[in-house]
Amino acid sequence: MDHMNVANPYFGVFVLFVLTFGAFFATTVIARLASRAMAAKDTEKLKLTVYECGPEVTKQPNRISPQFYLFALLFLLFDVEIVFMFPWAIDFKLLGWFGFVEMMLFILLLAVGFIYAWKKGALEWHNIK
Amino acid sequence: MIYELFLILPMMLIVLGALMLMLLSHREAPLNRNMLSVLILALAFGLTLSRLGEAHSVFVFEAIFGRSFIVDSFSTLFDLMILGGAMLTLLINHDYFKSRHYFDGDFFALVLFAVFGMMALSHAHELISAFISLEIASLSIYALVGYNSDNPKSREAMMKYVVLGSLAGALFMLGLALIYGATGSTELGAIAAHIAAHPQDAHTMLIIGGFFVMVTLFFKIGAVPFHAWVVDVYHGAPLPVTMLMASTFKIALFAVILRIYLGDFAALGDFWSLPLQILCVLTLIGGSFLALSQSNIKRMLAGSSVVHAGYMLIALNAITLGNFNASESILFYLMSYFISSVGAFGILSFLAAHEHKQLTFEDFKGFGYSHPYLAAMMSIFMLSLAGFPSTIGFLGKFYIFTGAIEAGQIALAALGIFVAFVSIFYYFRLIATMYFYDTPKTEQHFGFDTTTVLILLMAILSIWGGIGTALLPYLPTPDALIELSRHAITSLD
Repeated sequence: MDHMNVANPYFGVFVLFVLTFGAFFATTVIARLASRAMAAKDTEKLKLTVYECGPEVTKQPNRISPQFYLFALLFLLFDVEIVFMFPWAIDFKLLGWFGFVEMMLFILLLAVGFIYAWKKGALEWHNIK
Repeated sequence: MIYELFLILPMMLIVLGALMLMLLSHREAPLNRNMLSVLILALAFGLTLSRLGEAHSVFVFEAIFGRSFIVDSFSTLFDLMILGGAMLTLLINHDYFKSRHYFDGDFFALVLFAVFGMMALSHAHELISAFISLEIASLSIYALVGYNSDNPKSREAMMKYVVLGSLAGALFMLGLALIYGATGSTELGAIAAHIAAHPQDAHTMLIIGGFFVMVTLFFKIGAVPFHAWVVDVYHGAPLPVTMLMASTFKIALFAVILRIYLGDFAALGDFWSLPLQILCVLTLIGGSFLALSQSNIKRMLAGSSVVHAGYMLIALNAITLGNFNASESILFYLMSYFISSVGAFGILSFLAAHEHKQLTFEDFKGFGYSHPYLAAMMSIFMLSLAGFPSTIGFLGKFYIFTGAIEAGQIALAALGIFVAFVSIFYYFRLIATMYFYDTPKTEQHFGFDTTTVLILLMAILSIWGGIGTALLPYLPTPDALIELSRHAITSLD
């Protein structure tokens, strides 16, 4: 092992690093074994119920329509794009015509996406009639 | 300005075409979307073809985008390969698209977006741009893999690919952060300048970052030990998508790998060499085991694509050792693998379109008597994939192994040759199954249509690539391809 660079100032850190990993691993294993051997295995019904700060656990009366997720996605898409428009608006004069054309292209691409989503029926609330 | 616009016109065409297909996708009107996308690809191909052979190297809109996008002879050749590959893939699946109901306009729009991402990847001269292009291509392919959402296998494949692929993408980002931390730039030229300006042993962080980037790229080409997804995803994906992933996407990935490791990280070749050698050995041996154990033809081809990635890694290793000529052998090998694998997958897709069944080795019993012409062509593709002399696959392997020997990697070349012998087992198993069994089925013939003509073309190309040099002295030969690749590589320096 003559090519192992023991003189490296970080060698000690590396050794500690490895040892820490070993110690961490050993601790986890020991803790798991100990708890498995010594813990009281109590499967009382009350213990296993879901705890919800006092009141009874309520059941979701209806299923949430996946349409919500679609709307959330679309909202995110079009809302986050606004983030790009603020700096553009502030530096509008500085960017000049280049910035204008660039932003128009950007909005055009967004518009295409919007038309696509519209035509695909993503904006319609299918499940409620 | 106008000239630069002209340079990126092919890419713009692809995006516009994809947007158009996207907007047309809801329309019920009978419209041959496959041919429309082929037309768009062909237009872009023609525009790019006009630049082939002229030496050029231009940073596109340098004042605006910095030096993040480059158009040079190298990217032009790769663009041609990607566009041609996508075009042939779509055309050869013509019958398959007609036989399945789930290929609507969105499918072709996604294919075009994927092609755009791949082209951008070959143009990227900056690591963040490379990452974004890679993700454009990958995200489109994730969606394409799960396109037949009625098929649980397809959904499973998509899930696997998305989860593992995003993890690989995150590693790319991590590597990029380390590289940026070490060099203060993500632009390849600046990184190369940094490497040149500092002593060799001051690059620890850069090398670690480079390894992470390498892991992502090798994950995408399916090198062992990052291959866990390959067989399942290739099997679950619809056949056209499998073809796109196995051939065209790989071409694009090698574009960026070559650009990074040939041009800008080349000075650190000593550090890449050892891990690459280990990867080569693992990939060749692991891939062979993967291919040997499959009973389904699609899965066997998927497993063997890992082995083919391994052959190309041999050449990549030769490059890191200073034999830059090996890069041409990678380009040639990519083309030869493309021709033979797309042909073989094309036959599978043709059969899947006309005879609905799971195509295992069992199904091919007596195939040589029931479908004599298709069986003959399948044999050609198998011979070419195995690297049998007088096919293009042989020449591809020949160039790779000679390149490795020139770089002093004799052991690796010997392993490659050994693995090529092993591969004869699983390729010839198919040929044997086709011809050594009787079949009760009567002989079937198919007329000439787009798919059959293209399969025939691929078979002719496989043979022409192997012996064309001797037979047709006045036509372009494989040497011309090599010359073209050499020319393209010079634009990297």
